[in-house]
Amino acid sequence: MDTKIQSQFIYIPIRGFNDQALKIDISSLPDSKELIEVLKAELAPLDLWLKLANEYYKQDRITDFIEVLKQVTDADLEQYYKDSKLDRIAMLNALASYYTQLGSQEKDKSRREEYFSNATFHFTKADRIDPHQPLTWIGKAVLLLTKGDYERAESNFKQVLDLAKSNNTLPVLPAKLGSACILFNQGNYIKALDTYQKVIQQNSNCLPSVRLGLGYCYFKLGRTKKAKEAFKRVLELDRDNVEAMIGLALVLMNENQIPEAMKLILSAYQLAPTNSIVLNHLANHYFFRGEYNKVNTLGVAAFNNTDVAHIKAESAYLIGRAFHATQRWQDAIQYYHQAVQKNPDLYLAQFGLGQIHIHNEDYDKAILCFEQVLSKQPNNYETLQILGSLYKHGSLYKSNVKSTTTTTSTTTTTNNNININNNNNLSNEIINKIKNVLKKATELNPNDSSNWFELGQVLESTEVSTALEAYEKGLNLLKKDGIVPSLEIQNNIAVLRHQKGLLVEAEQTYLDIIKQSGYQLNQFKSINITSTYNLARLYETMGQVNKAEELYKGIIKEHPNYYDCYLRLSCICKQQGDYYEAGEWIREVLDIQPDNQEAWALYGNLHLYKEEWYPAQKNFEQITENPDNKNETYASLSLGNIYYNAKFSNPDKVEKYILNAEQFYNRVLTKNPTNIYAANGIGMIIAEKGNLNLAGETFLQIREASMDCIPVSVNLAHIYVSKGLFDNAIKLYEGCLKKSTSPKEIETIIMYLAKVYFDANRFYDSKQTLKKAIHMYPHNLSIHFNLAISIEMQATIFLEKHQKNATETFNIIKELEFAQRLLTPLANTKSTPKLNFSPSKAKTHQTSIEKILVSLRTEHESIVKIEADLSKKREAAFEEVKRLEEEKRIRDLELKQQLEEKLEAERKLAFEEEEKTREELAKNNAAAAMIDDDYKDGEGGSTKKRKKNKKDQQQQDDDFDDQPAESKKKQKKEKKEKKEKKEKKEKKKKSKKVSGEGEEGADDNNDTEQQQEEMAEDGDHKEKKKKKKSKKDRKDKKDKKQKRKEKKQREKEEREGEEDDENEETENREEQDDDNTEKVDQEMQDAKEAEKQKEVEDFFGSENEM
Amino acid sequence: MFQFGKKITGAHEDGIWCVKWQGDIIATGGMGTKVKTWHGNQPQFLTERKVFDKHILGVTSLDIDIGARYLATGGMDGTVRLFDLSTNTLHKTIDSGPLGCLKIGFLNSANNLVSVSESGNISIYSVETGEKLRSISNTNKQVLTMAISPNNEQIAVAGLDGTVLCYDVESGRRVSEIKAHGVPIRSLCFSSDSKTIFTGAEDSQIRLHDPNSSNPYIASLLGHSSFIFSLVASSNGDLLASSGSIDRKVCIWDIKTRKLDSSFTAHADQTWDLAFSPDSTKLVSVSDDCSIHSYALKQ
Repeated sequence: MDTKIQSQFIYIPIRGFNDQALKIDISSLPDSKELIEVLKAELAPLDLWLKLANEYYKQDRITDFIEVLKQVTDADLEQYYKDSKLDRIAMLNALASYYTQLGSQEKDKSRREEYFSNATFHFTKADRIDPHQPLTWIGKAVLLLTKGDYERAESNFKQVLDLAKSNNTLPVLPAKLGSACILFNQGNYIKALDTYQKVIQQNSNCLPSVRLGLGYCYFKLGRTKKAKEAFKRVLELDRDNVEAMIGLALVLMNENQIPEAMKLILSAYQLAPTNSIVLNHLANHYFFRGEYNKVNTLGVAAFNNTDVAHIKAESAYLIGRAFHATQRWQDAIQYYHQAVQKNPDLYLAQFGLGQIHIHNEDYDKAILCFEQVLSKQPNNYETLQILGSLYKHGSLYKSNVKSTTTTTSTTTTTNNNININNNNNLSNEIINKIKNVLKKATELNPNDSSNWFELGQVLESTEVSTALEAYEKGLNLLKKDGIVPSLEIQNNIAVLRHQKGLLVEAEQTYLDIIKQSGYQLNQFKSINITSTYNLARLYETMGQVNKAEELYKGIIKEHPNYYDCYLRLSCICKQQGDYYEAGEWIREVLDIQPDNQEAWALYGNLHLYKEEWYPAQKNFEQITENPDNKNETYASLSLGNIYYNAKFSNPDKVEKYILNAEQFYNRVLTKNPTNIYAANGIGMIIAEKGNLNLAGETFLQIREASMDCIPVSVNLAHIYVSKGLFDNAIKLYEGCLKKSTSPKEIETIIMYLAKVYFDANRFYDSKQTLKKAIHMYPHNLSIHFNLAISIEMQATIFLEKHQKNATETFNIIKELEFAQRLLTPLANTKSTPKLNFSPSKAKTHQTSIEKILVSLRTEHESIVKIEADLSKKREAAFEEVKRLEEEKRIRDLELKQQLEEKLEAERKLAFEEEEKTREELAKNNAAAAMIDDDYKDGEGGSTKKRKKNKKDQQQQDDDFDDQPAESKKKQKKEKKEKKEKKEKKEKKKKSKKVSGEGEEGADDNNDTEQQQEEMAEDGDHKEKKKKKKSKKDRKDKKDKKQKRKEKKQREKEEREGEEDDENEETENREEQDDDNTEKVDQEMQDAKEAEKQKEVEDFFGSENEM
Repeated sequence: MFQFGKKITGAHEDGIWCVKWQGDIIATGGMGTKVKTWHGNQPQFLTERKVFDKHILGVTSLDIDIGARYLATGGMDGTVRLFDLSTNTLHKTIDSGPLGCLKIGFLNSANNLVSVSESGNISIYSVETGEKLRSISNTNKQVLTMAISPNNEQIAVAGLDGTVLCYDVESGRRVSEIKAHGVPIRSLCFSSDSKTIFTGAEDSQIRLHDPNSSNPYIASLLGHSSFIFSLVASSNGDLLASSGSIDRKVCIWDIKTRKLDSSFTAHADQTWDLAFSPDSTKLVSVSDDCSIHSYALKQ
């Protein structure tokens, strides 16, 4: 039989009978147990099992469905159907997908997890059969998608799609749909849309959910028409699709078709009453209809039926908003908080929360909320405006405003400033926040004048110019709109102009304000009181005190309780020195309002100014004893200062007063630990008790905290003075002088500086400092007194100086005379407690200065005389010097004469030598003449001629023989002579080294040697003569002549050598002129002897000839 | 606008307290004993001419007469010295008592010299003879500064109480009283037409007053942050110069618009005095830092 499936029947073939089958009517399926028994008995194919299971599923018979599919896990069936892998995998996947679906719809977490576990179990079994089945991958991907694990889901879908490229039989569409779903959730709507469109193109008969996805994409992309079409198409295909209903409703709402939208939502609600999205939309709808109870019910239902954070946040927000609208603040806060916790980006809930905090006046929390909103939406104009106002209500800002007010009031009354560094820093921080917020608001909407006014108000205390600009911009905007600005705003503008120094413009503004009120200035109407008062303050600043007085008095006349006017009049009188009148104005205030704190403070300050300590004390005690006082800090400080200074006037009660002062300072510090003036007071107390180190440390710490607080630096300098560290003190005082702009402060410090120089015994520097002081403050009699004393001390030291100059003595005298004249009026002054010096001491110093003057004048006279005597002595000394110089000149002249004489002697010697040379020349001429005679004799006879020729020949031979011998001898002699000279020189050198006597001995030796040499030469001459005589006479004659020449030459050479020796001696021994002269004499004698010998020889020669 | 010009550091050994410019002569004096004159024209601008070494305790005030013949110096010890600038010799010596010549000035129309003491006594001396001619009775006993109107008709004094008193030179009668400031007045001068009084005070304000009006106040000039030690008006009537103490500022103001024209902070210490050149194109300032600074009108 055929196994065809009919529309109404499924045929199960009977095992063993091929032609027979069991007919099963789909419309009346039996119980799953019976059917399973049949299927098992007949061992039907698994595809039939799956088909039957699907029929059960379609008929919503889920239990039967599960029972049939569950059989696939039976061990026996697994064994039997082992070869039917695909069918088994299909059944497992179907079961797993079913569990996935159950899990996605389950709210209970434990059940949900159970379903997901079952799904995982069955998918795992399918993988074990065959791990490469795409359908299993798709199933697992869907499971992951349901769990929210998009990344792993995406990878599984990609695997299927990648395989599909090479295998066309794989199921591609489910994977594509999965990818599209992931893309949508990731916000990539364009790609998701593209994927959905492709799926539809490939399978136009796909499930309606594909078109639903398409609609969602169109909606997100803002293509509402397409979205509407898609959603409608889905509803055509599946009229009960809740998601499509909601989608379409949203589109219709955006198109403002509320009724139709609500119909759809209501239909969706009927179909799916626990869908949180539907519930949220219904709640929102009923909120706008004012049906807040329904909002709560629906919102709670939505909140409880979803685990999605942002949907829960939306529900909580809706509920909170409903409570907010019905003024159930606490409940509203709770739900807003939940909304913000669930979804921090839900700024609407933050906004609502902030609003409720404002309602509860919990401004700090409100600020935090709105700052959160701004961080999400930086250009949210409404939030900027709210924050601009809120910051002024914050606790930090308020505390700082109070401090500023306190400071302002004390500044007004006392000109003392209380620096609160920490609060100032916080104030700056908050003011900066306000500035930034309001500036941004003005940038976003520059045409809203209120923002400019708010900004101006914030900047008033810190940036006057910028504040004024802001106000004026706001003012211009109002003028453009034809709106008259309020008087308060104009008043603020005028005040800022006053502060900026635009006094004339400020005056004009005040006058305009008064004019706009419809009344005259001199009518002093209530509406104009503030402006009139401010105008009077302005006139004070402008120096027009008369006008200011008129206005103040006019205000008082019409409004007797306007206390500030009395106080201002009091200040004016005080400045003008009319202290009585100043006190009268204060008393007027106290008559009207006995507890007026400012009046008491001002009154006390007035007494302080007049150094009336006791009345000041009473006045400040009025403040400290009042439990409602606002100026206790200043009053306590003042009382501390009064008690501290009281010790000067009552030495007996020093300890008591110091203790009281300490208590007052501590009282201030207890309330305000950063009050520098109280800390300064404590430092003073510590110093007074003698603990200088601790006091110094205290002042150093205060100085680090507030570098520019001059009183603290001055106190530290005082500590250094007490310790003798004068240089440190000087540096501090000088530093303070360069910083201070207070005339009184400068006056006091410059006196301190002069004092420390004085204590350091630097009286000149003290004097110079006091000269500057008197130049600046010529009316301060204490400076006169101190300057006089400095001059006196300088003079005292000068007196002790040993060597004095007439000029500087004169200058000191002049300075002392000036000091004397300075002290005269001081000495005649009546003594009063206010004087800082003692007239009696002035007289004493006058006396001591007079004594010094007497001493100096006497000394000056003597110095003048001494200097005159010194000048005379100098003249005498000068003359002596001249005499000495002349004597030197004379001696020099004598020496020169002596030198000249020596030179003349030497010249004579040279002259004599010249004469000798001349004589020698004459002799040579004679010899030449003799030779001529010989030639004449030869011409007389013929025989003689022959003889002569022979003789001549012989003579030539003789001459030839003799010449080489002579030349050799000459050479030898020359060598000897050189050696001798060298030896002589060496001997002289040695003799020099030994001693003078040795030298003399050497000289004697030299003389003897010379004589020996001369004698030797004579001997040689004699021998030669004898030999020649034995030969021929004529030859002998010639030989003699030659010898003579040679002798002469030798003598010349010797003389030259001697001269050289003389030169050397003269060069070496300049101081031994005597020796030189002696040698010269000896040489002369030698020369004479030589001449005698020559004469003798000439005489012998003539005899031989005869 | 003015620009910074020549600078003489170490012009004196000690702080310089006063300066005057007349013709080609600039005179300076101060805490030291020396009074110096300098050349006022190029090419020897601000080079030394002469040194007078007479004042032992320093010079608090000096003036040169309009013909530049005499230099008058007032010493702290009360000695007034008149130097003949044509011969550079000491002409006369006048003893006015200690601090007796806090401020001095020439009455050029009568060839007289005015001196005001610390206690407010106004004395008039003959330049030729050095004799005291007369006194003007002054009710202000705490004087800090004095000015003579350019027309030589009035003498104005001011001091601790912030009030300016004007006296007629001929009759000695007080002609006006101006409550100019609430604090001591440190500097004072007349405008070149003698119709306006400028005051500088310890409140760092410069104020303009009309002494002939029942409401003298005209305006305030704000720009300093400490005492106004010196005020001087240019002879052409256009400019007012001011110098500060701790702020070390030299400011030049346009009198007509009452706006700050130029401002300099070149000195290292208090700036005590200023002097305009006769042609109003240059200004010199002197300071405790021992230097002379000059400023010139930009071309």
